[in-house]
Amino acid sequence: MLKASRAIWWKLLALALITYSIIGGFLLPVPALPVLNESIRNLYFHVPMWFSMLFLLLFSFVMAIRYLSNPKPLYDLISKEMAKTAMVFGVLGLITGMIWASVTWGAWWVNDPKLNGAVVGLLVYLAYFVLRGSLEDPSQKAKIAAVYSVFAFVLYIAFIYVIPRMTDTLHPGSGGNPGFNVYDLDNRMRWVFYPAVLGWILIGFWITSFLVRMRILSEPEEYQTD
Amino acid sequence: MSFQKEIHSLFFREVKLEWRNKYTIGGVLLYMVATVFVILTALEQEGLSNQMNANWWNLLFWLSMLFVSVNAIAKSFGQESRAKTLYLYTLFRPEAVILSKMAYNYLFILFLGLLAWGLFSIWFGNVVLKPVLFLLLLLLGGGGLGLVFTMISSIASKAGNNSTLMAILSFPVILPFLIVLIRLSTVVFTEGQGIESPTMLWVMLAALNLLVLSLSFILFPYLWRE
Repeated sequence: MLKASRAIWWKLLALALITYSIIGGFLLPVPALPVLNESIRNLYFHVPMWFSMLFLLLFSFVMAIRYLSNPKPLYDLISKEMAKTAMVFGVLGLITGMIWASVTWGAWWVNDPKLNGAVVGLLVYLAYFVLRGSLEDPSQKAKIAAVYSVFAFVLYIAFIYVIPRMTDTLHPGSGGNPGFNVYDLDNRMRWVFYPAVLGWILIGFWITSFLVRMRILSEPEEYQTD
Repeated sequence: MSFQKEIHSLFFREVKLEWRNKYTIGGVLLYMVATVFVILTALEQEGLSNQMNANWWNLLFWLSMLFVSVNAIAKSFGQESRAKTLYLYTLFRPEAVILSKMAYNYLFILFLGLLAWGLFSIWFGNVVLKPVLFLLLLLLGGGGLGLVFTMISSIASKAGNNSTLMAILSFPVILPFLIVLIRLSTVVFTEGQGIESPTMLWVMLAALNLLVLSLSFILFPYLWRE
């Protein structure tokens, strides 16, 4: 896994995709919808933040499970750094969402399960880091943090995906607003959107790989990799 | 010892221990009474205590349950000395330990819920139109609170039993339950259905309980070995 993280090709791909999505996001035509108008372009930035956060958290979750079954410190390190990067993306997603909301809905914050779900996610992982900080012994820290990470992630997924489906919200993709169709995600937008999602996910992995490798370099004996 | 016998003996051990120190149980019950009384006094100052409508009743009920439960269960794992814990470790299977603690805490929360219901009814009027459904809500919701807090308490107890840690870890994770419970409670307070598709919410509540139960069952053994 570390070898793959040193490869260049996917990082260049990430850069290319992001550049394309930024340029295309602003220059290519978008469908003209009432209220949204040009702000629909935020779709290329706001939603990829969420996808990246979820992917990073999913990977963190998988690493936590792997750690529990095979306690190599490397797995715990990756799990932790993934969570860190995911939180940054989460905050960015919230900020882009709030900016978008202030333009389209007229308020910075609305009482909406998806928004609450985002804050809950951040709270969960902040608590995860507080938990890590309050434990001394490194292997105990890793194991207990892994247990909490698994427990909290499953409940978090339950929270953000199931609950919004039950209530009507202003947020697209839940309640009476069907998925992305409300934005008429026609081919014009798909051309920029999918690459943007992939690009930001790869950027997330890239940032995490930096964090992981920096940590390994500073404590090489602990992370004997084979 | 067979699994059932293990759970049986552990469960009654919990009951016996708590019964010997009646002041711990009494303390939590008093906490509940005091909390509700504080709410009563605060509302009386505002002159609102006799105007409590069902929504506020509901909200305050579940919030009180939440805070008192966190405190009640916070100590459930930290009370035994290290030597005794080691002794238990050699005797019992971890699954039996967690299930017995959960069973005990579940019953305790149920009792707290009934007490809170009584107090709220005396001081704020009884808004519950369908007591059977409310009881079912207590059974499932109390289950959620009890199960989740027991699991979180086991995690927090490894980190020095800091009570703030317990609160930070548990609040984000309990949110799915809380939200479903509060929404579902409107069914109990209104004549007809109250909300669309309450059955789905009941199913969700049951599913969440099962999810937490199975997660804890799988994850606790990792904690127990520490």
